[in-house]
Amino acid sequence: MNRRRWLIHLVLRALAYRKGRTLLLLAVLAMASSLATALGIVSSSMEKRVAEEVRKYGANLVIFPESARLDIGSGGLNFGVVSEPAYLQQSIVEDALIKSELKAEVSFHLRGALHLKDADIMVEGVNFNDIKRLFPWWQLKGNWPAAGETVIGNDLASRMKLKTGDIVELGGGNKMRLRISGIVASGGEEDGLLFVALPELQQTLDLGGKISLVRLMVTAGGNTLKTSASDLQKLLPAAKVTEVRQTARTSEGLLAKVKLLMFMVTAVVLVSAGSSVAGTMSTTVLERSREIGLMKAMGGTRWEVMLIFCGEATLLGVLGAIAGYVFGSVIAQFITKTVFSASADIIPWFAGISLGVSLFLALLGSVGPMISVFKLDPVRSLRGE
Amino acid sequence: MLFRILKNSFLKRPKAVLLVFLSIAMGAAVATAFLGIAGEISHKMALELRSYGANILLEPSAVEGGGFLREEDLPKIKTVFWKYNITGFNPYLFGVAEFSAGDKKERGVVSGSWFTKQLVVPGEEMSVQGIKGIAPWWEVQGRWPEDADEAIIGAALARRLNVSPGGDVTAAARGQNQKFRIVGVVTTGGYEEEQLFAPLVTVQSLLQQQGKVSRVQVSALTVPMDDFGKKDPSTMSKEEYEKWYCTAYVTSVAKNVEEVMAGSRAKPIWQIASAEGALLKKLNGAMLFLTILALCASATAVSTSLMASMAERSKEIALMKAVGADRFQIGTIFIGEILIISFAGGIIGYFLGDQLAGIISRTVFNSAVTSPLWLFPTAIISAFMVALAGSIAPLRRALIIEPVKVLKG
Amino acid sequence: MSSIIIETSGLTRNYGDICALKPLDLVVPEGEWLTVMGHSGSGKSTFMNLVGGLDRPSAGSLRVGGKDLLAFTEDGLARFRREFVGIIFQQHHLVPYLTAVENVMLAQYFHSVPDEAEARSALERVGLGHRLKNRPGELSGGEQQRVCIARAIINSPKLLLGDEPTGNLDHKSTVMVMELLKELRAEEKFTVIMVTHNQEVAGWGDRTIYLDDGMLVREERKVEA
Repeated sequence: MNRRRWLIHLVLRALAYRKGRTLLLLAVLAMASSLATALGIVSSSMEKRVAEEVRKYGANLVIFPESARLDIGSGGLNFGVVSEPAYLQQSIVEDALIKSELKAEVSFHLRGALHLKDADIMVEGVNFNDIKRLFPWWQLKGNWPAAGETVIGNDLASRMKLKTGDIVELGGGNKMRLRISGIVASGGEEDGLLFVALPELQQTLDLGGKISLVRLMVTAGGNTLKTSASDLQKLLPAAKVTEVRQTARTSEGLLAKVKLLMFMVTAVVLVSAGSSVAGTMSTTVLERSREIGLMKAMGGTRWEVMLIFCGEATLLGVLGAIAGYVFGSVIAQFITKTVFSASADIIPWFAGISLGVSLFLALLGSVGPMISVFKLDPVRSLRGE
Repeated sequence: MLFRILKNSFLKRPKAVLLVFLSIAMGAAVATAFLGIAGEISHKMALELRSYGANILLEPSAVEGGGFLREEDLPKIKTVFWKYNITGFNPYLFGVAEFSAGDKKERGVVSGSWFTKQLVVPGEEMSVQGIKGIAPWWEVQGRWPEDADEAIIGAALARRLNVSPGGDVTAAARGQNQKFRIVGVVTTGGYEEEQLFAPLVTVQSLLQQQGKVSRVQVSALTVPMDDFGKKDPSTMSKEEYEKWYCTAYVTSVAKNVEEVMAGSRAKPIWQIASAEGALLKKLNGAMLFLTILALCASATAVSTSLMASMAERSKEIALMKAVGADRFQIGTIFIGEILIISFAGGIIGYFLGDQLAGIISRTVFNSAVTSPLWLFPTAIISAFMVALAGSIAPLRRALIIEPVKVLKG
Repeated sequence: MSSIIIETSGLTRNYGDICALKPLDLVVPEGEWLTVMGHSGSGKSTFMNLVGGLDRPSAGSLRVGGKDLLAFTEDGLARFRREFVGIIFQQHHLVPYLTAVENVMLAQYFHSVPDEAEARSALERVGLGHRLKNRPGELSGGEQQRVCIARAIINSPKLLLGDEPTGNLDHKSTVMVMELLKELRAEEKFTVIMVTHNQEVAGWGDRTIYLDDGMLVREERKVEA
């Protein structure tokens, strides 16, 4: 039997002899590394999870014609158009989106003024299916419109004294006759608009294939939003592609804070676990002083005897890491399922983190005991002191 | 006698006692810190989410164009029932104007507002209100306006007028002219980029609408909406109404603010309000689980230390037995030890934990937190419980073992 | 004339104010069975520890097997011990979680390489061939001590030290252990230093020295009857 195999054999026997102590140390190491694993996994999938939640805040990119004004307003405050309108070619934008391979939800918008009763009102043409995805906060009383129907903003409805079920006639180049299927309240610009199907508005205004604005909700991908925006911009020279800072920038800050918090919590617990491991290991050495003295008396050099204890710490570290990784992954799955209703990714390289944490704690905890082993006087320990 | 035994026990094994003490203190510190923060995390997260922007809008209830709100009503917002939930508000006065800079002319919107206005309301704490607080995503190249004739201009408008910080823009509206020194260019990717923002009082005089305000944005901490919150208040019974009013739904806070602004109508800005409720619930849920996990890990660590230390003393126990002590007496001595150490450890741990909570809170949220006082006895009691839990098994085992076996070696 | 295996001059060991061993001059020829006798506290164990390289002298010179022990580092002493010395204690100090054969292999591990066959035959030599897989807890006092003997001689030491090895044994086991040592010494030809306060055990040696209060007070040679 060669020396290395014997060493492993010795280490296993020593650990098995003190089952209680071994299990305790394993428990602490496993708990500490499982915490690190769980937090790590949750934290790294946090981006995706938070990004999904943040989608409910709406679009994070906007495309509008270079020469156009944005409709005036501020964070939900809208003024209406202040100057001559400009348009984008819908097909050009669609091509560019395909070419850019951006993963995004898209909605096209066309704005125009139409005559209703005795006033001019702002009408917006949209695809209502897109609206459902990009504007999930719309509070709709009534139903989404079918063909020949329209949705009207809350304020506009009360101003014009309209309600669900009413028929409206919109003047313009070609007249439109629509039934109001629902009233929308959002606290934003939608409250003052009338919404119709995009192709119909394009036809009525004689603006076939044209749009005023495109909203994009870019899902978290490899690129940052900024690079996605600039890539898209290159493909649309006649348009302006802008980040909606209100939604885009804020989530970065929030995410960073959550991650930092989790990191600090982990660090604190690791310190606590480390000291516990150290304390437990040092009492072990006290108990085994006779054994250590004996080995030295038999002619083991200080390093050789320390190697045995180092081996024990290493083995504990490895076993604790395995248990910790499994346990931590399970917990991460549980948290992600319960809280976010999604599955966490299985991240194999977190096994490495778990191993690192567990080994680090085990070896760090054994430093004190190692020093004791080093300094131990065999004569005194064999005497029984 | 018991006291003397305990004293000797501590003095004779300073290292071991210290180790156990440290372990308990650390465990208590961790528990105190996390519990102290946990209560705050929810609040802090909600505050973080306020950086998405205002969630309530106040408009004149009179029909479009004609109505205004009164600037003098604004300080009352700081006195409403939900005043502690209102993290900030900001008034706007809008007007269409002709901008000219150099030889360029553009039509746009001039907006009067507060930027970082110190608001003093009698009977309330001083606060700072304005765009800077409510809309932290605004990127201003340059600086915010300080003097009455300074302004910041939206990036799109600035491009068209070809101005940059240091330049001048003249706004003409209703026959009046006002020259503004541009001190900053603001980028948001939104509507703001087509406007010029100047101090409210200057725009009021330009538009000859002194003391008037077109809109007010309010940023408030709210609880997530549920079905009850969505009910129309006019259909509620008296008890339902009270319950609704006293729950910080965005709808009830909006109503609250509407009451003090004469002639106003308050609407929740649903884009913000609905998203943050869900997000907050989820973040809090995640944090809760992780805190529990962390506490478990910490408790395991402490128990382990104690088990190890107790197991080490089996010889001592055997000796006591051989000398004639019975199990009850021995148990008393050890439990006495645990009591003293965990009391001391709990106290130290509480203070350490308080500091730790402060550090974490400052580092992550840039704000302070003080641990609630009820954590103090909780820390001590839980320290004792965990220490006891760790010591029970080895103590019992050691008490049962025959002294002869242990002493013989 | 055999060669000298141990040579001391003014060998002293102090612990603070206490003088455990007063300056001792002694010569031990190779192959001798030397008994060191005295009451507890007389310095006999101290002497043994010094000679075995387990302890360092406070003063004086000590040469064992031709080597100057004062010149060794702590690790050097360890290596010296594993090559040269076998020790048997009163408390056997067997590793509780290793079997008999594994305990012997432990000594082999520190020396060079564990060899189960060799360890087995050593245990058979001491009459424990049937108890190879037993842990110390399952062995009687005499059996435990015999495992210690096997462990002590497995690396063919030149010097065998015994610190009251029969102190915990009954009369029958004592005789058995002493007989075994005598046989082994005849086979392997190592030098024996036996520390004891038991007159009967002393009788097995070639020469007995008496220590009292750290000083050598008497020396007796066994008369070949």
